[in-house]
Amino acid sequence: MVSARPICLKVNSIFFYFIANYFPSMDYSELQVTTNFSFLRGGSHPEEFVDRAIALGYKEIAVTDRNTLAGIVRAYTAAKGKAIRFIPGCRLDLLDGPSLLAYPTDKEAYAHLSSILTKGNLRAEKGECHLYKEDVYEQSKGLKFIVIPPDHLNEHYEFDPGFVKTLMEYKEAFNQDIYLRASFSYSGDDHKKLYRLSQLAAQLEAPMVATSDVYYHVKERRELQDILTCIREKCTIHHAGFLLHANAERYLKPLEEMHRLFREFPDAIYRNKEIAEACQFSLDQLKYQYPEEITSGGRKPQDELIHLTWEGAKERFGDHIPKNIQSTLQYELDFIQQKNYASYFLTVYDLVRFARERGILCQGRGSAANSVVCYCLGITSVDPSKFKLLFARFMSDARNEPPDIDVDLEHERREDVMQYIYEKYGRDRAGIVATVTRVHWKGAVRDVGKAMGLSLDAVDKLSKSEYE
Amino acid sequence: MPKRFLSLCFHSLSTDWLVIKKPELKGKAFVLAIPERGRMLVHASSKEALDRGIFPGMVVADARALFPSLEVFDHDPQLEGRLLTALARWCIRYTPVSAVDFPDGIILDISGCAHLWGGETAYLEDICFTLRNKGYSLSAAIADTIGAAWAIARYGQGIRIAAPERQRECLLPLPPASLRLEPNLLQLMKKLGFKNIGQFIDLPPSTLRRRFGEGLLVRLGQALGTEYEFVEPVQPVKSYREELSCMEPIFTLTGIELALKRLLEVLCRRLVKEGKGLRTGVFSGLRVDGEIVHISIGTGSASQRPSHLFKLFELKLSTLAPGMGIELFTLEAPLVEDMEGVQESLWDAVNHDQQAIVELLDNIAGKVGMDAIHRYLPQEYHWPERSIKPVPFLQGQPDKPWPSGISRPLHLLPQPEPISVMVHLPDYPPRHFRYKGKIYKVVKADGPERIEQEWWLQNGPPRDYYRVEDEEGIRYWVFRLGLYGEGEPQWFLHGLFA
Amino acid sequence: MKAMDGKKAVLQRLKAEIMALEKFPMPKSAQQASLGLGPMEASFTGNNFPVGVVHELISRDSIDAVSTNGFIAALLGKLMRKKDYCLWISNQRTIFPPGLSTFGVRPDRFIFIDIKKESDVLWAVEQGLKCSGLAAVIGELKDITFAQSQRLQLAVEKSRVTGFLHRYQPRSEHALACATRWKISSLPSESIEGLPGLGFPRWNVALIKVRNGRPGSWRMEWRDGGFHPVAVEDLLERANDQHYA
Repeated sequence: MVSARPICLKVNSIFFYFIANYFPSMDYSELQVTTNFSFLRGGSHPEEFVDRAIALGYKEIAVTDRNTLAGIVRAYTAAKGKAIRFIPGCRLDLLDGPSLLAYPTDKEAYAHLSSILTKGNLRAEKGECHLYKEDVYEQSKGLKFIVIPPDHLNEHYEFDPGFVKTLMEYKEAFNQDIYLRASFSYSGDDHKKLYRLSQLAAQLEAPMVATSDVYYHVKERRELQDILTCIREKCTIHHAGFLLHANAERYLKPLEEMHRLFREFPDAIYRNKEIAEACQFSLDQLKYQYPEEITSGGRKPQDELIHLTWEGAKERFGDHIPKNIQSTLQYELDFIQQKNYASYFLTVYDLVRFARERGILCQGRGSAANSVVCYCLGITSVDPSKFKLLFARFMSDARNEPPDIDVDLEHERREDVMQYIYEKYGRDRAGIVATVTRVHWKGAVRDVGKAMGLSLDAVDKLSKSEYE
Repeated sequence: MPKRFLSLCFHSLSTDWLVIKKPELKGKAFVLAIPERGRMLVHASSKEALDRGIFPGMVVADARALFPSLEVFDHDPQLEGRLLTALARWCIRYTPVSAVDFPDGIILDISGCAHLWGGETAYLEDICFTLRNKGYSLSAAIADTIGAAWAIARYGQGIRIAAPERQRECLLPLPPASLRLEPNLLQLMKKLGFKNIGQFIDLPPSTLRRRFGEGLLVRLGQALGTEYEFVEPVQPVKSYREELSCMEPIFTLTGIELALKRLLEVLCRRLVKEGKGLRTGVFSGLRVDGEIVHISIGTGSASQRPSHLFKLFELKLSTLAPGMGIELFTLEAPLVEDMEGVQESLWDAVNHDQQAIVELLDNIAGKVGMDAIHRYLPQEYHWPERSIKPVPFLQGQPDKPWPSGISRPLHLLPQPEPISVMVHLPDYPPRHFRYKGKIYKVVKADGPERIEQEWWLQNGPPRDYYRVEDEEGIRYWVFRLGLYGEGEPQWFLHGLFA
Repeated sequence: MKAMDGKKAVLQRLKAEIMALEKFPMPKSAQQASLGLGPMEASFTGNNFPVGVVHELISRDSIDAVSTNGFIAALLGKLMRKKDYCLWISNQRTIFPPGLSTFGVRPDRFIFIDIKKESDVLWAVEQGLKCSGLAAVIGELKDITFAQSQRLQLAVEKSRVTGFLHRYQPRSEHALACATRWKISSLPSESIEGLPGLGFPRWNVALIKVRNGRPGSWRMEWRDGGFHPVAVEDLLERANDQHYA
């Protein structure tokens, strides 16, 4: 539908204004998003991207941080229950080839992706991830790949032959559809570049896919993203030079804008949709798979738990267990059975038992202290006959998640317990939970101040100010 | 003849100089800044800047935070030295013995000079008035000793001239700082409660020596006249100066040229021996009628070559009016510099070429001015006007290569010029544009190349550049300032591609 | 074989003598590699683009002027060695140094003399041409007499600097003592293999006068760091191209 408006004569310019190529269905998903979990590269939080995408009417959005899946949880949580579907993804930066955007289509593919990243992390030192093409080739099943082409054409207005060669290698190695990332960088040669890309796509049967390659959720965030670059490269804004983007276009665009930009390559938009629809994997599908617990006498976990609990109760209270304690125990054990968490308690019991046998100090704490079962198992030490315990603080229907039993261990000897766990379950099945620490705001103010070229005094003053 | 000294103290030398150079800065808040360890520090502030709490030593970024419209100029660390030397030279008209008194003053030995002006008061007034007229803020004083004159010039309240042998009483009310003492000594004196010289001047020397060191005694002695102090006048005896007296007065050009050549040879030989090169040269002649005529030259970099220097003088020789004849020729090099680097014996083809180019540029600059000569290195800014930085002469090589892969026009208009366009919104290149009354039809176009301002330097709308070609194959660089939807952007022609 | 060699040597010597007589200096190395100027080289004696002489280029408007300067820059890209400097002298400079990179020259090897008084431009050009330390001097000026051009020619004979006199809208096109006279004008570019947008720069290069050579006119495209002739068929094809993003 083309509509023409009257020609308006103005003092300084003559306009001829009409809308061309109006697409009936404005579908588009952003498949390439770098969040701040790509440390010092992305300029917005995953939640900010999700919220902005919802506001713009996006139906799906992916997160593709650099060699990490760290950002997907926040994005998943932000999208949950809202009118947008979240697609976990990752940008694989390789040491020996062009980068790949990877999206798992199912749970198995997600496992493959995680394996690839684990491999890269294990072979490098802390904080780095070294990946090679081979690593990806080995674990590519179920993953959708989008190849990222070079930023510029060479002086013959062609893609570097090395890139074309690797592209063909990728196609061969993945033995499935691969796609070419098409985006507008506003660097002056976009149209020539996209034309070449479309030629390449046709030659190699690697269709173009449209993305915006976003680093921040709104345009205004660009200045901060520049500062992050300076912090990362350890220079001031005055010396960053070409490390900074020339323009501020790396933000989530309105749907009509995406369609308008790709009006000459509608296939790229179509493929964008195609990939989004193929990637139906959601973090919902990840459920905790509990290892089988060894029980004595061939009992089932719940039975074992019941057995150990009553034994423990006798130890604690003697032969005459008070009536109220008994009924509480019964209530708790029923609840545990209903929720099917018996194995979990057994695992914790086992660790505590191991520790006590070795004379390693340990103590359960937190909401677990509200459980009489835990008291009887010797995990916690708050006597229910002396204190009023609120089991609901620990486990209840309202809290629809597994319980959390924190056990403090004697610092010097916690290694022994960790070794025990690794040995019992195997190094492949046990791991330490990593926490992502946030830069404290004082440190952030200092880093930003330094990047802006302010003196330490000024920065000190700023960081001491009351602004939170 | 009893000695008398005049001390001049400049309050704001570098900022005054800048205002003299750029009168539009008068009344404005500005600073001169120097780089130190990766940051720019304020070296000197104009009065208006000081009023706003912007002091030397502050980091420029902080100063800007205090006062965003602050103008910042690069400070040349050699500026004060050069200025003081020049001013000291200028003062030679008041006395032959004129010396620089770092960091902010000049000392004149005016023994026997003041009577020519009708007395010391008139003398002092004349010097101060003339210098103030030039634009410098200063104070001055006269006394028997350098120390006393220095003290009174800077700290004296009311008095400007200490009568002969009366410097002691003039010094009594002045603070210890007026004795040119070391900062830690001053701190000590402050701690001990010594607010003026009178409080300790009569203490036994042994006590003073014990408590404050020899330095205090020396300075006190210098101020009182019991210790000797001398100055190094800017026109040292050993100046780079050669004279040639003539048996007969010379008034022909040939004769003058010969004299110049002779003098250049002698002077340059001396310069070479001492490893120095000439930066400014003055060739003067004392005429039969007593008038002195002169011409001067300057070089971009120190030179010891008579032929090169002769060529520079040659351009101006015709302006030398010999009158009835010149009896005495003088060639002086008021400004010389150490010659760096290349010795004659180590020259190879490249350096030989570079030397030739440097001399050529001096030669050209002599006629059209140094301002006409430009050379550029790349600067890592996207905004086109900021993508190059001028460097002096042949100094500097690019530390990063010139950017490749972006198209820039061969010709750039001095200012972008408005055009009117016919265009599809919002980011198509124009289909037609009108420039200076003529309409051009666009047949091919590349773009947009969207360039945002470097936001930490300047705020403003981005430019969307397009390379467009018309039917005749002329290739233009046009841009739209700002985006549609944010007002009515104007289009401009900025350059032409070959 | 030996006879052939002898003949070759004789020819070389004769060639050198003739060129010396005609005040065409032999190129610095006996066998100067082709400058990649394409069919233009056949116009010159020995197929060698003459250096150490003064070339004259005339442009009639500001559009021709930019094509002419582009042509000069392209030639300089071929002539300048790594350590060379050039002087670019003009009265109202419009050259934008980054734009020189397109033609294979490094903008920091140029020293720009921006002269306020037009009458001083010629003087500066002459001074520059006398300086053997330079590779080339480009002077943008308007008018110059035959006698003045002779002085310039004399200067380069001694210094071996190559001069380019870019005359912008001269009042008269009378003969000068320059080795060549060119007129360059812009031609529409050709879309590259169907790519949208502009193609490589194209010019109509007319060598109107050349001492000891054959005048000629070519349509040339600048790409890959060299000049390439444009086939006539190309020109016909491009008639209705409207590639435009």
